[in-house]
Amino acid sequence: MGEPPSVPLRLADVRIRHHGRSADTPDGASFDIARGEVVLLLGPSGCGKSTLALAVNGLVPHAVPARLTGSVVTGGIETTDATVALLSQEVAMVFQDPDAQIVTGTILDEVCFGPENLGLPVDVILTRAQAALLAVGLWDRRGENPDVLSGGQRQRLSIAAALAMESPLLVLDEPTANLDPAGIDDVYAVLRDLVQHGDHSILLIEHNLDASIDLVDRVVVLDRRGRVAIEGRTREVLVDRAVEVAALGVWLPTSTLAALRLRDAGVELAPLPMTGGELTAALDGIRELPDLPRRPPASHAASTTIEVSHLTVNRGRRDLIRDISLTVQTGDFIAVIGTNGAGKTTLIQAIAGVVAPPRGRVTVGGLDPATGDLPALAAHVGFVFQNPEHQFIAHTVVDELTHGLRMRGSNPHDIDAQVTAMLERFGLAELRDEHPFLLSGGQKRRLSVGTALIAGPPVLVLDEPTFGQDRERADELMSLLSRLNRDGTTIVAATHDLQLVAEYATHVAVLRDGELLDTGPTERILADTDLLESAGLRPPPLARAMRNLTAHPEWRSITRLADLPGAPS
Amino acid sequence: MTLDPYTSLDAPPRAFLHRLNPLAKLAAPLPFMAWLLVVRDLWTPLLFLCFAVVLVLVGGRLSLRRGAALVIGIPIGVFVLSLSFGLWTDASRVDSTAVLFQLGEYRFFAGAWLIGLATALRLAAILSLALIPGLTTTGPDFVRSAVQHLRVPYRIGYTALAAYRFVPRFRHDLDLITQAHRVRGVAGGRGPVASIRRSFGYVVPLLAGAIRHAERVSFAMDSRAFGAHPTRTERHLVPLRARDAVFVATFWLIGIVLLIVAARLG
Amino acid sequence: MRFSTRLLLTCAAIGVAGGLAFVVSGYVQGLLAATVPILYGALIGIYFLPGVISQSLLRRGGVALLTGLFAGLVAAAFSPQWFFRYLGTGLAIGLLQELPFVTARYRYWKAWVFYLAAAIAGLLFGLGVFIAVGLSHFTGWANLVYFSLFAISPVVVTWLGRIIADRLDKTGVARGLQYEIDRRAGRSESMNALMAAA
Ligand SMILES: Nc1ncnc2c1ncn2[C@@H]1O[C@H](COP(=O)(O)OP(=O)(O)OP(=O)(O)O)[C@@H](O)[C@H]1O
Ligand SMILES: Nc1ncnc2c1ncn2[C@@H]1O[C@H](COP(=O)(O)OP(=O)(O)OP(=O)(O)O)[C@@H](O)[C@H]1O
Ligand SMILES: [Mg+2]
Ligand SMILES: [Mg+2]
Repeated sequence: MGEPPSVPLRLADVRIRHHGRSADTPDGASFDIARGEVVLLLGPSGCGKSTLALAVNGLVPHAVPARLTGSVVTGGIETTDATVALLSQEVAMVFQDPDAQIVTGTILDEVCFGPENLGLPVDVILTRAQAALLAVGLWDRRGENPDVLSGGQRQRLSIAAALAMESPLLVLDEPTANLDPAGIDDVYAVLRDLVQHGDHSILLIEHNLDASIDLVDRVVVLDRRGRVAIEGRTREVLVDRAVEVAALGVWLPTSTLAALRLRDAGVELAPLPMTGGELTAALDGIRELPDLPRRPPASHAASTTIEVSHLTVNRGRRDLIRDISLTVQTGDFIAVIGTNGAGKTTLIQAIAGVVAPPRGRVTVGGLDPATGDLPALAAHVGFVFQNPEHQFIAHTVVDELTHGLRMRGSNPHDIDAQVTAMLERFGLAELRDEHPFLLSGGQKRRLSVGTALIAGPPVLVLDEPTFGQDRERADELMSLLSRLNRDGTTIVAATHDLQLVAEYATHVAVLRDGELLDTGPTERILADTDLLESAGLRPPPLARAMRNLTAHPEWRSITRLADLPGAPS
Repeated sequence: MTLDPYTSLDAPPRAFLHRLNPLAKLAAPLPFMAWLLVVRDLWTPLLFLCFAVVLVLVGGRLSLRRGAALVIGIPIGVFVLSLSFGLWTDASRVDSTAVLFQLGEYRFFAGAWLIGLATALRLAAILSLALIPGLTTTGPDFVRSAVQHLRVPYRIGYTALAAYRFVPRFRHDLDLITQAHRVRGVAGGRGPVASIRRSFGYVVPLLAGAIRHAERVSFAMDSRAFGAHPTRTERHLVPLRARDAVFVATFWLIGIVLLIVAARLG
Repeated sequence: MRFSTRLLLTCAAIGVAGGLAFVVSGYVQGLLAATVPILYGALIGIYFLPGVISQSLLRRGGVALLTGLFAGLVAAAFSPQWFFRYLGTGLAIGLLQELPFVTARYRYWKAWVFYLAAAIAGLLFGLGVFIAVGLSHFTGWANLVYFSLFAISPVVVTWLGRIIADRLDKTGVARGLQYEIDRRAGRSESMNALMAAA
């Protein structure tokens, strides 16, 4: 590399405009990354974090049609003057979607792919590959096909492939989005080791602060327009300027959010905690805590909406879910949780009749999805798929919404009225004639929910509604759902995000390897650590902090931010 | 040819076809397949058909099902085809020959059947010759040897390898899209027309998703120095060895003998 | 010209779709050949699908050949007995589809070129298969049907392929890979610098 050792990354007033866009995102970002430093890049969705990541190794502007002004200097090389291939020796990338990063047929080949492209001699390649695979703990499985790996393992494989490039800078763009807790732990265990050895600089883009915060040295926060709003050591930014950061619409660690809420209730935690441990310590340090707000008892309508009795679903010889019995009351918001592959999707698809279950096992509002009278069922149950793009059938946003109503043969006038109302409600009004595929991730998600809602079904079933969403959008969507829920819509949602479950769900069903471990009110389930652990899950961050309290036993069972005393929200 | 790149590695020593270079296995039968396109007699296709089947059974590692399909399926297929082809041949040319059977006005002549049989046999022979490389080569191995010996640019070769990985994803996405459209009531009636219209509705989201995926994969490959240099290190060598030359030579020799025999017989 | 990795993989994606279409139509064709051989030509147009989609979506030289190649490889992987058929036809058709546009140095992509090319290619292809299967004993009218199907089906598929490409275009997934429909000297509004990037 260049002598004297150059700064791994130097950004000076970087502006990037995507082809066909009218604004720059990012819009004038400037910061450096020093050797061995771990920098966390935060910012509201759409502010240009991923775009910036792509600029670091020259994919912007060399492969992505976009205009870059300012200068990106990676390992002493001006990216605009160098090929992506050359830059790949200065910076290695790990992207969000594990499947989209795997090129070859075995784990070993995958890790060797990069070094092979560099034309290194075989023995060098193999030593590199071994080192990288040992680092992520996949060396023993090197002969296997990547398809058999779990999401978290695949992401570890991607990291190994990046390590094998032996480039001093590592860029990770939301490496753990839509992984289950075990997978997330996997990935961060690996990163933690890397940081300890300290020979890599890391640029991390991550919405899940609770998992990542302890290994970050410095935080850079972009504002909505993509300019550097706040920059500094982790604590300076996330603690001393927590309020500003929150105001930018960026998520803080759950513990910090909790502390901010408590501050409104007159409980001063100084310094503000960032991790669960700090929160626990801080609270135990306080002698007198205010009384907990009394939760309005969840009003329980006695009528049953969904009845599942001894449901078993198998593909070929294999049982995907086994002997599941479950009842859902009208107006419940039930979350289905479990690790990747536990059977969440299979279960809720059977309930909604997306895949017809065996006869007589499921009844939804008196209908049996097995005896498929699809129109009737569709009118009664709205289903939202994990990937919105799969369910779009029209070529404009407005047609997408109109479709459901036409199916029910309502008259054109009402249709217009309803559709316009729905567009307003989901903030899609000005996009009514856009093609659904051209919307941003969050907008796509809202549209897909809208299409499921518009026919006004009393039951709404969602598969990982927060999939691929940043926390802000996820929260916005979930509050929309709980509003619907309060108005009487019964909601079934499969999800990985237990903090969201804690905040919004009234009931929880826990799956493990296709079996229903337990189901009941959210408080009880999330408080039962052994149950969650045995399902391969972890209690949500707040619960983890609270259950260790010694001084305030009555606070131990708290799982929701909303349960903390604070400004009535 | 199979998608899984690693089936070829654990071939038992008996299955010598699996240990030959794919290109050799392609080169060997090719001239005779071309010849079979133009011959019209019965013996040539028959002999090559038997030769190919025997070779695959001896030199290839087949599942029992495939083996059975080969031995039983081909004769049946040939018979059916011979009848249907015969059915469509111009009766006036062959009405001098014996009548095999008669349906009302229609009379099926032995001559017509023989013509049909010849066509059917030629098809079967060509197919089973193609099975020699087909059943004993993995797609990736073929691509690799094409890159290593036919000067196919490795960037194209590796794109092909990536393409093999798209296939299972395609299947999965198709399932999802079909389900999604079903529940959204795109059913739109029964019958072939409706089903065609429906499947047409799947194509666009399927392709759009695939192209998006392709874009992401390309970014991942670029960021790992794909295409950095005119050549890249190859760990999986698919060499052309002496045994490959021997195989091709012997194959051609046998082929010529068969041609002569056929000429003698008919 | 050097293809960007993104362009190559986009072709691969379209190729895979085409390959799967090959396999399905291949079996249907087998059925036809066994039952009503004169209809054999009806599905031959499927082989034009990947090329047509990639060409009318991307409007770049070489994409038809590439998609044809990838489609052939994928299809061959599925039905080994048709190894040569799929790889061969995939490449041959792809090449055939390049010809009409190479004459205009890949600068002119109006619809009529597609249709004309498809019709001619169809006839040539029909001739080839005619020799191969050699059902030279069809009674007169049957020959007519048998033959004309080879010429018609590619045109129909071209029509379908262009509709698909058009809808794909609307989804914006090929942004930055596409060239204009008419880039002949003077006509072209100066070619987008951004597109050159991809
Ligand atoms: N290929 C593209 N073509 C056109 N516009 C794009 C493209 N990719 C991103 N954009 C736009 O650029 C802006 C920044 O996108 P980017 O993905 O970098 O945001 P982000 O900060 O990563 O958001 P998120 O947190 O949701 O990932 C967004 O408005 C997005 O719509
Ligand atoms: N069509 C299918 N054929 C065979 N196995 C399947 C099929 N669909 C799912 N499976 C398997 O069934 C199990 C449950 O799948 P499911 O998608 O329901 O899990 P999940 O809880 O939704 O996982 P994730 O959190 O990753 O979405 C998994 O092991 C999956 O591999
Ligand atoms: Mg992003
Ligand atoms: Mg799922």
